[in-house]
Amino acid sequence: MAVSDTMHERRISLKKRFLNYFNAERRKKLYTIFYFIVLAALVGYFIYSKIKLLFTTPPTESIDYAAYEWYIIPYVYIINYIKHAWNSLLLAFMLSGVIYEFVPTTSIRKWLGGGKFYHYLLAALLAPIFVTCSCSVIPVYVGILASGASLGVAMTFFLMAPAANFITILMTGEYIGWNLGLWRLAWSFVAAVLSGILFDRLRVSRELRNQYDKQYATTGQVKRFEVKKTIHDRVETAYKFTLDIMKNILPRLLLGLVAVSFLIAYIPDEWITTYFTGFVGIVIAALLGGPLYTPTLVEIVMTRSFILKGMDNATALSFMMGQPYDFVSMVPNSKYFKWKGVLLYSIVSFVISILSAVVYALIYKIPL
Amino acid sequence: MKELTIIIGGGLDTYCINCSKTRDVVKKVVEKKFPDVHIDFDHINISRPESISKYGPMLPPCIIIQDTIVHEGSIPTESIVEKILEHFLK
Repeated sequence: MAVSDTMHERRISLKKRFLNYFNAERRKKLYTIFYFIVLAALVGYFIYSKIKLLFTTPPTESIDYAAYEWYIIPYVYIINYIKHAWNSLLLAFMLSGVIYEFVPTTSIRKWLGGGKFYHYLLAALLAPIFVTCSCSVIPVYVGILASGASLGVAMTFFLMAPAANFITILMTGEYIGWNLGLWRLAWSFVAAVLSGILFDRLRVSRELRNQYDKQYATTGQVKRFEVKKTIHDRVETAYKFTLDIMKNILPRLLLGLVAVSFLIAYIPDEWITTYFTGFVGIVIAALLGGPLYTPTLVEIVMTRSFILKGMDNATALSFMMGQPYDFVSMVPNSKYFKWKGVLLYSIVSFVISILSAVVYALIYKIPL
Repeated sequence: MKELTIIIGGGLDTYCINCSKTRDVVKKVVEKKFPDVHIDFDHINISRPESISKYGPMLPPCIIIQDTIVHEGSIPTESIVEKILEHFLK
């Protein structure tokens, strides 16, 4: 009895000493170290895999999913996806957390004020680093306008943010190939800047600006209190953001992968080679790319699978460029840019989708 | 018992997920570190003209105490909220 009591006391005392040693402060330090170790490991593995595959194209093996039982297809497809994409997907999620916390978006917003040519370029360049949730879209928009930006600059920002956010760029490059990924980025940039510049030439842009100036005039001095954040605070915020974004995106991605797996298994290859190649394919892809309204990560997977089934790269580019004119975003966007603005950017994006694909086809000698 | 009104600002008229999480962090810190303080929560839509006129543009979720913007753009950590409350309750 006495022995067991002593053992029990010793166990409690050990537990107390353990908890005393690993107090909140030390635990925070350990979490920070662990976070950076995981990040470094992911970046390291990413670089290692790049060196290993230096100058080689992504794997192009095509699995015949139709050969499997229907209920096995999603399982095989998802496993195959995870095998290829786990590193870049995890890295993208973690880096989005780092960008969210470590890039000073509040001050960057102020750089966009104005309607000069370089403001459009800045808006398009900075949009990818604003990782925002859906409820932040309006405040970010209002913030850009409040910094003195023209409506066209705000439009450039809004078109570029979903088309070329950090996760999209990384996943397109990694899963489809950096050649196509960079083409997509460059042409999305052109479409966003051109739409913004053209929109500012319309009278509706100036009317909206005047309306905004009357409605949102700031009165009085705003007081601010700044707390100095420690590195541990920043890591905690970045980590929580990463978790939130994963919880938000992964279930939708999984559902999308299930849907895409059936599409890939049962769509005949001849359909793809007939309707998704050449100039006709480019136009059909541009027409479908927007209205389909697939989540970006699913769209990337779908595009790669279509490429493996015979879609040419030019058509793939046109298909992926359709994001800005999806029907679902048009309604809320009409509130900020009116229907004239929505129509303008839809036409510009559609034309640029086709143009970019045709230029790509001509350069890489893909038959049109 | 001390009293303090904390305004949580978000992009919607009601509490979104991020605003709710921000409110929960504040509640947790008050329960743990400031048990003798009573907090009243209020919520504003920071994209409304009246909010912009008063506070200027902000990024959600944000926290406003006594007409002062004390945090914006992310869900704060417990230690940040603790420092903020220490400042306003001293």
